[in-house]
Amino acid sequence: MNLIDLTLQKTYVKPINPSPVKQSDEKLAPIATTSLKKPHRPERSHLVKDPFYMAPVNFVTDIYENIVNIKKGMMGKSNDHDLGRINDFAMKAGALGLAGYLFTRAKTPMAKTMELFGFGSFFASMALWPKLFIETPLKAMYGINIHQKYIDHEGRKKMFFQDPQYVPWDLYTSDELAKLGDKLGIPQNIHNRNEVIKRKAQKIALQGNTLWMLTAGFATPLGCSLICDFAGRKFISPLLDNLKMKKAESNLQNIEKIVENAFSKYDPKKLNGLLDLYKDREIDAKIFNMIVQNLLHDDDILGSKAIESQLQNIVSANKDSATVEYVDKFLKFIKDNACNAEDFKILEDSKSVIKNFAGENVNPRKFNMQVKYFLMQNDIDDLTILEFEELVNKFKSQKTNTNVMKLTPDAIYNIKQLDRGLFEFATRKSVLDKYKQTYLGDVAESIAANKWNSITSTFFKTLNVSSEELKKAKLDGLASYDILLDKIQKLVANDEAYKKAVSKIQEEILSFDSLIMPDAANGAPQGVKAKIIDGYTKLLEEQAEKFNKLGFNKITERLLGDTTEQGSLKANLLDQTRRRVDELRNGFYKILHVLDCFKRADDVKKGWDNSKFAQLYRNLSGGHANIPVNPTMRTLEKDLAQFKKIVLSATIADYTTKFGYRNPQFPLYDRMMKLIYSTDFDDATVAALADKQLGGTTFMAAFKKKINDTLSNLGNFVYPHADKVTTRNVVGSVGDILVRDSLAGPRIDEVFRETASNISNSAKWLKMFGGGFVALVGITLLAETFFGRLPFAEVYKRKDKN
Amino acid sequence: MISAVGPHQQRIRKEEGFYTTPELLKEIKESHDHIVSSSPINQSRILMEKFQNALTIYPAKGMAGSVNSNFYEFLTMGMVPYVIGSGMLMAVFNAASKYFEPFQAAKASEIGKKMALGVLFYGILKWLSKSFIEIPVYLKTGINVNLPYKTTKNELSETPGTEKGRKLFEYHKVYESVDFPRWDLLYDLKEGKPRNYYYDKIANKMGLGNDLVDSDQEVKPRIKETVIKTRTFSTISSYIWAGLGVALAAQDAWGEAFTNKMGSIKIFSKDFLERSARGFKNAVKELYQGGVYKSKTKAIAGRTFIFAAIASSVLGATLSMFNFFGKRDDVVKGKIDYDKDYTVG
Repeated sequence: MNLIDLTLQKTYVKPINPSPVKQSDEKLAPIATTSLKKPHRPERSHLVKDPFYMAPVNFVTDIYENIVNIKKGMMGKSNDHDLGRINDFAMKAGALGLAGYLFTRAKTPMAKTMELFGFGSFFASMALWPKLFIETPLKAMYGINIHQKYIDHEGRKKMFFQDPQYVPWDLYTSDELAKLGDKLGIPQNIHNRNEVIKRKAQKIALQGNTLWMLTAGFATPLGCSLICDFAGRKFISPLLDNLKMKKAESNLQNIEKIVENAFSKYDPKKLNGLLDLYKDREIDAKIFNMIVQNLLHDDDILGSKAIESQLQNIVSANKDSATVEYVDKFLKFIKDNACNAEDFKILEDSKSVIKNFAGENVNPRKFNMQVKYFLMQNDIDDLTILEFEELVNKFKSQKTNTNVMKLTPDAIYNIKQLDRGLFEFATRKSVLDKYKQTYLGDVAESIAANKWNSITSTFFKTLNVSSEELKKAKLDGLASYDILLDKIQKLVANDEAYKKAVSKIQEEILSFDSLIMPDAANGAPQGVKAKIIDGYTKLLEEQAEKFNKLGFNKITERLLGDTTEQGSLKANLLDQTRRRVDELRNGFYKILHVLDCFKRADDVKKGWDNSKFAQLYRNLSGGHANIPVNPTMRTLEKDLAQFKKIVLSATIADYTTKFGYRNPQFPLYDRMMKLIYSTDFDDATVAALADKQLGGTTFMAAFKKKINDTLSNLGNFVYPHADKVTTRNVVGSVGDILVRDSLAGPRIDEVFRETASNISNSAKWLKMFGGGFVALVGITLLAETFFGRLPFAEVYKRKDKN
Repeated sequence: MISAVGPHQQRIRKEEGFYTTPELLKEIKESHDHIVSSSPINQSRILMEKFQNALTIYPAKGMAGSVNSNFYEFLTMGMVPYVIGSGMLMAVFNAASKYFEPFQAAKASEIGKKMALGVLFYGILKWLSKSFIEIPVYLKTGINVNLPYKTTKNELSETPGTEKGRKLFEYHKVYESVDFPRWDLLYDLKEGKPRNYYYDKIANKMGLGNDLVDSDQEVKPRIKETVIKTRTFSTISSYIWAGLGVALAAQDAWGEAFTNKMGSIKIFSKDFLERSARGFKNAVKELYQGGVYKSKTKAIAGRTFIFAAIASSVLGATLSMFNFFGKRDDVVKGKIDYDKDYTVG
């Protein structure tokens, strides 16, 4: 035992376990060093993963943090990190406010939606570009995530490689660092391997961040506009269409509720004020007009005339009707004022017949019309009829208006009833009008317009126009006509391509027509056209009944017309709807029909004996007494040129002039029409159209019906004023040229040229900026292959054994 | 011996018979961080120099992976995407128009010009609106939030064999970090004036008088607070003003002001300025009234924008100075009274 051991023996002191401090003691002795409370240690910083799918969640949690940040900033208690965060938040909030303002300026639902979508896609593009084209390729190429994030001891999330002079490598354990080095491809067993790993990682990160700064300016706007273009066309536009249709349908279903809501807000202050002011007084023409103005609810669709005459009935003592006394006055006036009384002798002779036209409740205007028909039926010549019309006008203006208009309480009550009735009518009608406008309107972004754009671009695509031809095709009519002719003939020559084209176009037609005019299995029409027509009919009849019950027969007359319904609102509305639907369907089916025509004409190349088209041509050559018609191949080819020209570029004016066929040659015109509008489709067409259904019938049946209808309408087409007045069918004249405008459908070469123009513009834009984006991606990826090259060879020296 | 202790600006000791030449003096001055003039011309020059570097030297260093790249260079390069991005946005809406048919090109360029004008106004108003808050704060409190200083960076050599690297200049702001402002640069600011001259000035504006012994003690926390508030409010209000700029550019009045019947208009000619002024006036009116058709929703949206922008600047300036002013008595109260007895506990 030595001195040291002895000393240790003596000075050894047993350790004393500290007595546990009671709860109360802790409070009394807050600085007691024997406290068992753990001292506060800040949270350890650590690496974190920041997966992309968490981006929406982060977006939401960030909002709360940002609000706290802004509060701290306003009180002057932020630090540098918080101030940086405020900038990010203010940018997003500012952009949202801006998008909101531009939303109010946008005119169509599509434009409005794209304002908000653009806001989102701008920030998405800003975030996606570094993620997809810098971070991910670098991770794949070198194994390092340059946008690695970590949380520091104060709980703030920061980027690991943000500051090249301060990278917190102590967050990596040496094992993790070694693994990183393996991923980076740094050889084992070299001198100072850890340093080399850090150096290479930092170099790649620095280069990556620099590349990000340089490319972000180009990439973000490009990416944003490309995303918006693609998503707008493919997703948002169909989505908006569906929403529009749903809204229109639900409005139609809930029309009663809409009317109820409208009535709850109904408050005719102006009218009531006016009536109260002039109660029990006589009114003059000025006040009368003011009342009429207040009664006009529906954009003049009823016309102020009907309202005026109804109002006249309400407020004035005299009623305007063609009574027997009226007839006598009328006939006397005509006899006295006619140039030659002999012309109108027939009226005197048939006085009893004429008196039958008159009656208590007969409208003078109706009476005048009936007298006129009577004259025409009795072969009175045109000049006399004109003179008669002039005399009628003179007679009407000659009648002095000695009516006294007074606002009796009865009249006031009636006017108020009239106003309510007109308001209800206008409200109901507006629902139907909006429904019609949504589906059939001749405006941008109606369903019909969108579907038409879709079918014309599909048709254009099936023609496979190259970009040089595209440049020419959008120019003038002649160049585009030649290209169109060439492309169609190429298309029909190739059976496979033709069948594909036909089925694509059939799809487009079906997507439109199945909405508009599918007939149910039992032949009952359903679809938009039926809904509109039924809706209008029901509306007018119900409202007319209401007006009738209240005694407003002038309004009823305007709504439903007299015995012939001609010129009534009902006839106008239904006619407009039918014409519009016809016009649209003519356009859609014409595209398919044009393809079929060319396919049928294509088999002429099989020769005179084998070609089906030539067979049809021979069968149609009926002959006319004055013209010898010997159908040969030569005449066929001549007529074929005319055939193609008519199919592609005929206008209604050309049909009117019968394409220059002179009068005796109308049979030739007839033959041409039957040649074009043949429902004996080509085999390839029939095969391609298959057995698709359209409502209760097949597509084929509907297509055939359309062609037959067009043919019969065109065939019966008589040039107005070509025949005598006496044989003219005046009521619902089919010879009215306005009805014919759309019969032949649109000119396909015009359609081609306009579509070419639109497609050329989009193609140009896409080429410029889509190409620019692709080039940018290429340059970025190419640059990234040069990253991380460490220059000094000595770092790769193997570690010596000593 | 020339005493260049620490970042003192102009300490020249003429002891020991040693004098200095102006060039050497300049070199000494510039070898330390020093405050530079903050006049608008100088600020623009600084901006131009930064932008030039951001396009040339810094990307070259960054792409080469130089060890000398630092955070300052990364932040300065952040200007580049802003400028390029604005140009790209303008291009996306306009560049393809000249290939369209004349009628379509006219319609497309109508929209495109509005967009381009919007981008321009966004940038201008964002930059300009910060001074709506910073200038009143400076006038009232004497704190220039953007006080610039210049620092020299002597870089490490990047190629073997050379001793020294480049010498680059960096332009920072004294108050760019609110956790670590460069207080040291603000002492001995002016030759011939006391050391605390800067802080005395601010203490005077604070209402504490101009004869405090340690004005920097009192003033530093208040400056920090004011700078934080000013930065917060100016950031937020700059985005509102930027949005207002885009909303102004979207009005139809610009199209009307610039429809011309003959030829094109030369930029910055008298005609151009007149039209711009007219367009601006009408655009503000249109924004306020809600467009040509005076729609109610648009009017409300437009007015909200205008009032929000103006309110943010006014409120921002007022609230930034809210806690700035103090009472002299509160400060002086802490003076030691030599007649009183104190015990040290």
